[in-house]
Amino acid sequence: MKKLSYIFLFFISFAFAQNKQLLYNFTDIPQSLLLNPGAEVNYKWHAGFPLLSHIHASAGASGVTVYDVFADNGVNFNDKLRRVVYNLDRNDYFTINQQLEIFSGGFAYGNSYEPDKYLSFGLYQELDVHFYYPRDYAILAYEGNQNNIGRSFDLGDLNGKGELLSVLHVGITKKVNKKWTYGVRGKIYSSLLNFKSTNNSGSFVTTEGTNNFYNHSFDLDLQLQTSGYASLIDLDNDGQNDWNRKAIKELRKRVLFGGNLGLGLDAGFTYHPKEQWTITGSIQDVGFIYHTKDVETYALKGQYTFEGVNPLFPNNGSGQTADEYWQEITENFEDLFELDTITTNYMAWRSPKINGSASYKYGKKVLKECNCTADDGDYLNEVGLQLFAIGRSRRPQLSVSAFYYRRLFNFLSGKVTYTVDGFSKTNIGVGLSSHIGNINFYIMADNLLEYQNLAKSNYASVQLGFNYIFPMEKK
Amino acid sequence: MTKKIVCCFLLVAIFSCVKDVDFEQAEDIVLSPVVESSLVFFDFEASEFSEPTGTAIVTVGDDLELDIFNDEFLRDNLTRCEFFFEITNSIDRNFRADIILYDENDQITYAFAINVMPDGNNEVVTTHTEVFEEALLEQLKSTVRLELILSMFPSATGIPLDENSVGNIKMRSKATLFFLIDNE
Repeated sequence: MKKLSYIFLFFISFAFAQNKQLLYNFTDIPQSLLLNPGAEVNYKWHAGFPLLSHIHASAGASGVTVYDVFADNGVNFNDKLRRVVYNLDRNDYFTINQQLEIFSGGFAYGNSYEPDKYLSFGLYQELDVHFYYPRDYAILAYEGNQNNIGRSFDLGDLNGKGELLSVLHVGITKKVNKKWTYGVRGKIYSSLLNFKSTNNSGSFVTTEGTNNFYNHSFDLDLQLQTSGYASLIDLDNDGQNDWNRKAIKELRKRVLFGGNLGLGLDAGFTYHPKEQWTITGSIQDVGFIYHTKDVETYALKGQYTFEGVNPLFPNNGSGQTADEYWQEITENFEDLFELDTITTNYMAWRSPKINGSASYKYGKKVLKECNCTADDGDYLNEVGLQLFAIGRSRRPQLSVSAFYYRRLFNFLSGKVTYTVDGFSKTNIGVGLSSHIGNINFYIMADNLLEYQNLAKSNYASVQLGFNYIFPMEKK
Repeated sequence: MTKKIVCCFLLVAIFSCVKDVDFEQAEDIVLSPVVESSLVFFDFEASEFSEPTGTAIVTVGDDLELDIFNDEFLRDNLTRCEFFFEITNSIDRNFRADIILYDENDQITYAFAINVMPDGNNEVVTTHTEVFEEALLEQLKSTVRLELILSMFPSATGIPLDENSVGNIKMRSKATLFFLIDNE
């Protein structure tokens, strides 16, 4: 049973989301182009420090925190567990997202006096896991069917997916005029590992029977699609360490076009209806991966109602012997729970993401010499609202952020966000970006109110990275 | 200046922590689901037992493969099991249901009987609960086969049973499984 508790621990401990409200439209940082290829660019070229240019990890669980389950507060663990089992909704979810940029860069081109296009490219690795709380399964496992006669357990509550992939991308940002900038980014996905179980349905219900106490009705239509998994399991195994090493080696091979391939698109824009107003919007990861290599699908499908065993003595007229009759029942059960392994190709859509913002800039720097503001200088402050949505298998998840951006010094700018989403209503985040010489370093973290004890937070994220940025020449 | 700020930030990041939690608690996990399942049932009319003399003992029986209690999960986590039988008799005869459990060597692991009285052709409901715990539960866990024998005893009044005799004997039964799933 140890395994059970570890799996449980894993499920509770990690859950990440994908909202990067701090990085979005933080145009000092080149990686903001990954969230909106139509973000404004104000530098000549950039290169990310390999493996260090963008490190992102986030975890979240809606409806429950690590502290809720593991608090060292003298309350019996099983009491805390019971509360969680019953309080969570079937639409509560757990997510993990992690990204690591392997390399990235970009340069401006076009008109030689004032380049109006920016080409950016890179390769990053991403891990994304998302699953809903399988409430009916949890309750059935927790209390059994005795107190649930007549209750139909929804087997569709099992819904999750996970993927490990690399993304090679090239994007173009085009500045049309002072008001408009737009951009697109094409992506080639190479999936290293994928599992997907999002189209499950069926039920299990125990009802009062007619011939016997109960009828147990099973209606199963469950499916788990995997790719990149079967071959890992089949690796020669001389102990766990050996297997780990081989598995990592095998996964590394798939990073550049070695895995199952797919295509995706990002698009976005920035628009200034007036000088101080900015509206932006973007859509990311409209794309799919077509899984053809190393695919394995496990399916459970069937219906059966069991009301007990009717012994055949003295004679029920069916002509069956008792043994035949019994064989039939066991075969029915075996058929029902037999796991079919199928190797059919499948398509997996990525989870598309939408970002949008509206903001207002104000306050130019006061020059000491004349006690006036420089007309051509940048505004120092920006306030606004941002919206983020991600498509998930049941319904989109939304979040809204209010933000304040401030250029603190020439070499340092900061952004504070207040975010309301499915995880929490009190998420405050801070991001800082420094430019010392041509080196840009940025770091951002979420949920600072809970930072003293992350166990109590529903969501936390951190992003950081180093870039080399070559600025535009001052005219 | 920047360095200081960045350093502060990093310090906060490093010293932010997870406090007042104890992951070891997961070791204490205990689940105690209770599962109920239908077991054996039948419904026979008096005519099925036709017995012209009124003095014979009629015995019918059947065998069921019952190896579910051998299952590893049940062996590890089942702490108590109850069989509940309800027999409704409206045949004017005494019956006895014998339930005999066998292990894989065909040795009897356990047996019990349910005596059923008549009340003319009125329905008489007899219930019986058999509880398996501790040593008895271990015997159940080595069971692979169940035999059910129903015996009908001679009539006190010597009236034979034929096609026109009235009454039924019905059985319904269920098993209640009490689990205790923990970390041991």
